[in-house]
Parts: sequence; structure tokens; C-alpha cells
Amino acid sequence: MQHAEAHERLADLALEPRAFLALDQDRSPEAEELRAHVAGCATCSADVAAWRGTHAAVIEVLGYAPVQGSVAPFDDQPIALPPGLRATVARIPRQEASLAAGSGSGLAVVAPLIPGTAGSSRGRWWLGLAAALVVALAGAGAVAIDRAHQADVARAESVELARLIRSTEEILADPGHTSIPLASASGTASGLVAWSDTDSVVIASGLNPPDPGLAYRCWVEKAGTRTPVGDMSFQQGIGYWWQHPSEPGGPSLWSGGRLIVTLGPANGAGGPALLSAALPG
Amino acid sequence: MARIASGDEDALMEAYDRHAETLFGATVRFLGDREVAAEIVQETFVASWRSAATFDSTAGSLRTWMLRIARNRAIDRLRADARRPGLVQLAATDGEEALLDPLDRLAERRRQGIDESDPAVLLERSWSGAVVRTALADLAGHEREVVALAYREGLTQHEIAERLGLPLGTVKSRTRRALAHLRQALVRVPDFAPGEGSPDAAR
Repeated sequence: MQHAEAHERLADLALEPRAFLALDQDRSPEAEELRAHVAGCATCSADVAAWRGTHAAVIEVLGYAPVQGSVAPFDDQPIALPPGLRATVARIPRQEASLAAGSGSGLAVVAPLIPGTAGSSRGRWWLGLAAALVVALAGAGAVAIDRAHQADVARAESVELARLIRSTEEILADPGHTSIPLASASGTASGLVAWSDTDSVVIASGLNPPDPGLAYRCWVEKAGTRTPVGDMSFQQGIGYWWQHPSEPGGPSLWSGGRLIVTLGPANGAGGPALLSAALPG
Repeated sequence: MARIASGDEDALMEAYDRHAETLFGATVRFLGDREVAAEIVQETFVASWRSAATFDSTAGSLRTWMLRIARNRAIDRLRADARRPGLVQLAATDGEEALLDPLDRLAERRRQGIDESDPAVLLERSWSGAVVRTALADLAGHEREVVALAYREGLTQHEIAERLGLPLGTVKSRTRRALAHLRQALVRVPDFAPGEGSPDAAR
């Protein structure tokens, strides 16, 4: 059998997965002839291996019973990317450059803290928060590294907190930024809401870890109506939310009312306001 | 990838536009958590930006490389985050750390004879399954229809044409396109590793 003919037959056979996978069991003269060619042809052998792998992979997945609430593989639909993810990835080069500009240690990336602002009230909010973040960063980095995956997780957490600190510094260094303290109902300063044209953050310190199934969430509350801003990430006692200001839910849409932080079921309606910040009208 | 290694931000975003949906789809299907999946995709692009210079194109495509990064991080998350709700904990084996199974569907796999004493194998296969499902979800509806009949019911191309009332040529061309996509999407997915074959094999 010539290569072109064998190649064509394999291509046709591949359209019928079960027949393709049963090729080895087919004792017809045509199948014997095809197998003989494949055995001596590196290109066709590679094709057979590739199709076998593809068909086996799909058939294996089809063999699973769908989980309750999930759909069968052929009914599965594409999953849309989160709207803010592209902007977050686009910030990576700048953030990496900022991190590289530090000395390379997790703690060093936070220094210096907003030169010239330490004496202002704005600086004091950030300095207090930055201290808590440094503790959190150290905690994330101090996870025992006796297992590789723990080390990776610690590194990922350290990187994220370091980026959060750097982004907050950049926002506060922007002359056009807005920053507002977050406070508890008793008036205790517990965090910061800040945004510039390029970044926005909500950071809350001193939080207890949310119980399983619960999440800290930011909302804008105006005239008794809550509009979700987003769920906060949580590490080492620090809750934070951060995205480009033009993304859905961001400060480009905030006007008046107050930003609140609640603790409630993930994706639920949230609970009472734990922290709040009055937004400019 | 060389452009990313040289600090070309546009190249990074081209990679995002080309591969992020696959990375996110597979990770969501593996973990069942969109938020964590988004973090992992972000971490994957951070790692790609940092390590672009180490990318070896002879060892596989950029997509494969990024999928491997995402897979490792997703498995790390499962192992580290023992308190995550909604996960099923596998029984720990002797002296071994208990691992979390993100998929109730693993129970079905165990019945299929996969070695249940090796959580690493189960996790690896779960990831591969998530990649396969993502590839299937990417198919156009009319392509999915013919391929589903071929895989699920084992129908021949003639039988599919008869079932759907379509010309045989139409069924063949739809099946070819769908399978070419699946084969490309599953190239060098860990575990299944169909291999790459000749460039024209899928046509």
C-alpha cells in the first residue's frame, strides 16, 4: 500500500473512533495491509498514535457519570473569562518591573512607603495598613517549606501581597488619586479604599478568616440599595479587592453613598456592613 | 515566546487572547471555582512572563507549557487548601498527606479500575479530563452534534448522515473539523498524550 492511500484511509477511519480503536482487532485483508504500512511508516505511526490518544481521551471523559448539577461533556458550554482578567494580566509587566526594582526580598518591595506622605492623615492610614500587610507578607513567606507545593503556595501568596502593596503605593503616589478610610461601626479605622485612573483597591485589616462558604464582599450602598463591587480575597488577616477602575463594579461607577464590606455566603446577598467608607458624591 | 522573553507586552497579551480561555475553562472545570481559577490563570501568566526565557519549543507548544503551569498550580491549590468547601477528601494512605478530590466524579473513575490508592494519578486524570471537556465545549454546535453521535453512540459516518438527514459529505467535513480541533487541543495533554503526528494528519 502506498503512503498516500494509507494516509487517506487513516484519515477516513479516524472519523469513526470506535472503528479506529478496533483497527488492531480487524482481521480483514484491507486492515492487515494498512497495519503493515503503518508498521513501517513513521509518519503514519505517529498519526495512529495521535488519533488513538485523542479518541481515548474523549471516550474516557464520556465514560464518567456527570456530577450532580453538572452537564454531560457534549452539553458543556464554553466558560467565559472574567471581565477583569485581561486587564489584570496586562498589568503584569509593569508590576513585575516594580517588583524587580525592589531588592528581591518580599519585605523590601514595600519600602520606601510613599515618600512625603507619612505626616498626612492619608499617609497614616496607609502606613498602618502597610504595617499589617508586611506582617501578612512575612506570614505568607514563613509557611513551612518542607513540601514543594507549600512553598509554591507561599510564594504565590507573597507575590500577590507584594503586588497589592506596590499597586497601593502607586495609587497613593498619583496626584489625582482618591483615598478614603474604611472604618468599623464604632469608628475604628480598619482599612482603605483608594483609586486612581489606573488602579483601585479596597484593603481591610484585622479580619477573621471567613468560615467555609462565606466571603468578605464589597458593595456600594446608596439610598438603601446595594450594588456588588466584588468578593475580597483573604490572606493572613487581610481582605482585599483590587482591579482596574474602568472594569465592571469599579470606581468609575461610584458616586455618593458608601462603600461597605460585608461577610456572608459567597455570591449571596451579604450580611450587615462590617466596615464602611463614605464615597464622594 | 521569544517576544515575551524580550519583554514584549503585546506578545503577552497575544498569548492571553489565544490561550486564556482554555486555561480558565480547564481550571474552572478542575477546581469548580471561578475565582480561584482566575487567580491561577493570572499566576500562569506571571510565571510565563518571568520564565519565558526557559521555554523550550522543542518540548511542546506554548499552550502545552502554559497548561502544565496551570495544572501544577491548580493541584497545589487543592493540596494546600484543605478547608475549601465543596471538595471531597480522599482517604489518606499510610503516612501520606490527605489529598482533596475536586470532583465527585472521581468515584466513577474508581469503579473503572483506576488505581484509587494513588491520589496523584486521580488528580492528573481529573486535570486531563477538564482539558478534554474544555476542548469539547469549544466545538461549534453542529460539529458537536456529529462528534457526539460518533463517540457516544459509535455511529458510522453513513449512520450519522442518515440519523441527521444530512449529506454524507457534510457529516464528514463537520466531523473532520471537529476532530482536528480536538486532536490539536489534546496534543501532549499530560496523561493522554496523543502525540503530534504529521502536520497534515488532521486534514
